[in-house]
Amino acid sequence: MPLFATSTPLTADQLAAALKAQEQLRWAGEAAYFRTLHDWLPEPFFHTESFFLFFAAVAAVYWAMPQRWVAGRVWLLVVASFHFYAAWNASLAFLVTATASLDYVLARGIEAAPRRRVKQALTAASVLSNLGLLAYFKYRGFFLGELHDLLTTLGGDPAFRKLSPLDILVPFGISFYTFEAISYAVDVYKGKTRAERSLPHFLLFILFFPHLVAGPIVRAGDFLRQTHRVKRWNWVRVQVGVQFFLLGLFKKLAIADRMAVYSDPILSNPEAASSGAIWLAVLAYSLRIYADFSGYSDMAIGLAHLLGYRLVPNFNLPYLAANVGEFWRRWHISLSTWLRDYVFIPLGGSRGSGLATDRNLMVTMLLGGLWHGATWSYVVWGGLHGVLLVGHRHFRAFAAARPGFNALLETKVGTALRVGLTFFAVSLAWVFFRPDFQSALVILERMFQFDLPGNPLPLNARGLWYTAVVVLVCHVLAASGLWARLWSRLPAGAVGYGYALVLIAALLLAPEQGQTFIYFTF
Amino acid sequence: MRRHAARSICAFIATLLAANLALVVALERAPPRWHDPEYGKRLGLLRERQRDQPGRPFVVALGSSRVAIGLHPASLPADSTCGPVLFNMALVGSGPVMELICFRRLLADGVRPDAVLIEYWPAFLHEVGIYHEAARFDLHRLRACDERAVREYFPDADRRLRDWHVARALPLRTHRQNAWNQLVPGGLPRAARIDGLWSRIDPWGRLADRDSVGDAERLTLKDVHADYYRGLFAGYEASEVADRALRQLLRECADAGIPAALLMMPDSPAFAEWMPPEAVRRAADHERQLRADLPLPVIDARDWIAAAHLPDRVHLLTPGAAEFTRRLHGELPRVFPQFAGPSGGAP
Repeated sequence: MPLFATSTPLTADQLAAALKAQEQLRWAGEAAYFRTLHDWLPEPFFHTESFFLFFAAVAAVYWAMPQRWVAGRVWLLVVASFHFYAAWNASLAFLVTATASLDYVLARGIEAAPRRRVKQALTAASVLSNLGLLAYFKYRGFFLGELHDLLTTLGGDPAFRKLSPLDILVPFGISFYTFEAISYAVDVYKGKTRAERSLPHFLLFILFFPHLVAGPIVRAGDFLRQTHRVKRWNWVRVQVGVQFFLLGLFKKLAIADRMAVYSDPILSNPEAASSGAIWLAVLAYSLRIYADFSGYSDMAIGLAHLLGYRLVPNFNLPYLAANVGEFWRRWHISLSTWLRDYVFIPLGGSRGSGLATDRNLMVTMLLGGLWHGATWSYVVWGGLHGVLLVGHRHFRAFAAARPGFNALLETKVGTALRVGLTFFAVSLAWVFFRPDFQSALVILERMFQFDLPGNPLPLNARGLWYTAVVVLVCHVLAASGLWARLWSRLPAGAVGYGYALVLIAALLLAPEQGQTFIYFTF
Repeated sequence: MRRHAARSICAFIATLLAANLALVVALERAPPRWHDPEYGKRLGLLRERQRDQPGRPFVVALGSSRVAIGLHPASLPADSTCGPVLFNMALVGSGPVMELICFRRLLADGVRPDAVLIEYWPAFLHEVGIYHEAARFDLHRLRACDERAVREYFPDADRRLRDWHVARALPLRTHRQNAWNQLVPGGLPRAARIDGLWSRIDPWGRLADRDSVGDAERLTLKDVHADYYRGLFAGYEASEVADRALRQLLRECADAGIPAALLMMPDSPAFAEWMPPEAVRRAADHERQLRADLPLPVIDARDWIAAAHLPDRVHLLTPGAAEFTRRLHGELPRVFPQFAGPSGGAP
């Protein structure tokens, strides 16, 4: 499904019809080759049969190549990645490839430039070209819309119209690969990473299809090294890949898509829902976001392993975080470390005064919010997390000065309470993690009136509670290390049987109408 | 370590293949209910009723939801121990093609009715685009014995059969909604639930529906089907596919020595408001032609029941269904004279 950034309201039916018509028109204009490609692989999602066939074909050819053909394998993956993207939108696949090639050339220039000023100019060119791309595709509608409103409010004539969703096609994964390209240019400038000599190796860094559309955000220093290594078939690695993929598939199909059945009808029409239903829908939404994005990341990591690559872990049981700072060390780790390294620390990090640190945290989180989506609700979501981080920083100082209180917080009961409170705060903030700001306000208003009548959940809440308990138990088992110990002692047959059960359960529990990945919109 | 990993992966693939194969075999041998619960439940009930009423002739009605809801054999007097036994074997959405599929399935499943009533409804003779029966017939309901009908009457039959064969080979994925609907329907969102098609079937095959409607609901129901039928009648024609399937069904009934009659269910005069004059003319032409070509008995019940019993202009309320069924039962000896007499024609 194409994704659009806008602030112009359209009814769901109007938008769906217009999108369909636009898609048909767009594909009619594409070359026959890409039209056929689109028919074969209509969606860039990992949990579809067509992707499974695509991946099986790529992996078969990849491993059939002699292992000495490192460049051949890299080319194969570049071509496969290009086709993976082009099946969704051929023109944008060319655009992404072209901008990546530009980044490659600029980085070579940064490294080769004799003078610091030239290096700075080339780095700025690379960063600005990527930010420009991001701004044009993702934020143009938002900022022009806001400017239009402002000028109208001031009584002026904007002399331009607001953009409709149909005017703006946001390329899948643009926020991810632009951040990867920016970090690469900055790292080359700082001398942390050497500029890649080989274009196909660099293209693979940007285009590698497992991480192309929704991360994890990889760093050049980590990934490019891997592209030059000889890849040998390794059963342990295959097992790790399969395990990650199955875990991700289960999270996506059995948890995220099922939770969407509870949350979406309520949160998309909160005016008609009862307070109780909204509370439960917010719980379902919290579970859904986690399972959806961490499931996608797990699948991406698993697929990369199956091709001999290691991607950075993106999640580490985030809902067991005892405070919001810890939450951000466990949630979307590749983004939070990116923001830390390329926004928070360059702003001064925590080296300055307390006030400066608070400011840096707020700026970083506001930008992080805006990164997720071009609407005010994502900015507010980022701001809320900024406030929570600042609040926690001060609370931590307060507690540190009181050893008795601090010790109490560190007890098992204290930790459980902190985990619960953090989950509660994060879940409330998720209310803004949707494009519609006004709906988010209505949701909060109705939640805290507690007993408003209205539509109940579309399904019996029992399934939601079971899912919440299963997620909690799995978190606790994983955090205690019990799961890993048990798993490592099982005989091979039992492990394989377990994998099959996970896959069967995922297929059985998946709702008929699958959902897109939430993070594909970012 | 590597050996353990390799064995794990092999065990995974082997388990998956074995589970899938076991399910394929189980589903191929499973009772019809697992493929098509609506048909399967009625088949089981029909067999039960035949066991309960040994020696009595069974008249089985085939048709759409109008028959499924409107034919109410359970409402017949309990002391009616003579005459033929009526059983409702209608499948929701049926036109001539699904009626033919249902009839062939009955014979394939070893049930030989003593006579059949075949609903004749002009609306469902229009087999074009979204109004084709194929659009109302879920691929996963197909059984091996239906393959011939798909080839003969469904558009794009090769693709449908290919998809069906893939679905048969991967039942874990394709049958999960069916399994949910049968085992844990409460776990599905309302839009995904289809268990109402069989969970409300009574022991005589009728799909239980409204007993009455209030004034407010009557107003809502009045136009609930308006868009669908207005669209259907906009370019109406009695399609060649429907005509061919109906004639084939009658031919196969004759070949099997099973007497058949056409049944025209009670209509609401208001339903005709959705039919432009051209559609009325074409429907009448087809009926006239059919009657001229095939001199077979017809039960024309179109004006038997007051319009108040058809609040949505299509389906009968329970009291109307009972009244219609009583009158229909009285008509059977006329239509099937071989069942006349105190024993109902039993040997």
